[in-house]
Amino acid sequence: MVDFTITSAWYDSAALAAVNEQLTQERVVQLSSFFIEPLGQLPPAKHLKREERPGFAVRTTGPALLTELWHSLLLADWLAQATAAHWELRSCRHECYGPGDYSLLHDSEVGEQRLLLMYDLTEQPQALNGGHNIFSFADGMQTTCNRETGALVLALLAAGDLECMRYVSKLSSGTVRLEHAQFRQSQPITQ
Amino acid sequence: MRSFDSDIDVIGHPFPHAIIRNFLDLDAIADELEWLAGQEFESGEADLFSYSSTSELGAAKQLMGLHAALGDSAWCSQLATAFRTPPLSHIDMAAYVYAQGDFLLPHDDRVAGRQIAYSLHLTRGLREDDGGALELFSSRDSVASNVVKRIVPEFNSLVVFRVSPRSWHQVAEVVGDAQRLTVTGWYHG
Repeated sequence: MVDFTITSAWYDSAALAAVNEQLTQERVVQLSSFFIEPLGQLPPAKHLKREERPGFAVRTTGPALLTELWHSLLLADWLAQATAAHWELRSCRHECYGPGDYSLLHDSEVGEQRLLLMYDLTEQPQALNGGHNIFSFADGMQTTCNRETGALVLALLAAGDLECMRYVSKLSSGTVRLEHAQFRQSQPITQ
Repeated sequence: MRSFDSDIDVIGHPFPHAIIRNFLDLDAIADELEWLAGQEFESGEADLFSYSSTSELGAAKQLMGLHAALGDSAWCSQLATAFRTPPLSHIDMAAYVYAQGDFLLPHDDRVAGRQIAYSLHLTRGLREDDGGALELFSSRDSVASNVVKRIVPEFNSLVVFRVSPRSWHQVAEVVGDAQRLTVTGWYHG
């Protein structure tokens, strides 16, 4: 049984306000130790498929391990508090990037505003060997998120905003593993 | 300044390219190569690449011989004939260094005006296990498929290829200690 209890610090009203402000202004926020338990008891990923699309993405993907979380009311309620909006899950998957893997900057299949969540399952991240997220926004702003085990990345993306996984060096001895979930806004919160 | 004085042997698969060995007359151009090695290389990184490069060098007086070797009218004419392109009008030229961990991911080089891409390799003794090979992809419907040819950079060799929707290529990550130095650019038409 995986414990999805969100760290109490992320329920603090000041923290929620800070998340909201950073997401509004910078559009990307990385929250360390998002869950009380680091999800070490996750079952191994299954049904993984190799995706070889040179010039777009080279990686391994499979069904999300945290499907229960991505569909949960717990997360939906927390997202509503942190973003002042309600979000509906569009898709989720598990992604692995080994040495030599990458995805290039790409748009979403649908150009609408979306909230991207990535939960980092990488064991022993190696910052010098790539494998970090790059966000490139339509207004020219660019943000990088380094790997951090147990951190949740939230990115608020609109039409024309791009994201990618920077190439993982062949010198890396590890694999970047993360859960990737996209949400679309169902309705703003009216007060 | 050119040592090469033969017909260009164009290889059709996976897209038209040629490997021209012993391209430069090294004795004649030694001072220019020394000047080039002393230039400032600025590191750059994006989703597609990681390398260091100079600014555009086509107007550098210190590289007039190299510029002529790569871009004089006789050579442009020979290339245009070999690759069946429109007449080539001019080249651009910059130097690139790939150190350990640097790479260039798959792309096709297509930008308006580019007819032929070139890369003059200027590192001695690069071995296959150092990485840094120029890798050519097969493609289907202008989408890259698989690496079907690896060209290990050989000192004083010029690699040229026709820019087209099929010209998918990449530079494999340099994993050894060697630094991969090239002068690279495009022939425009």
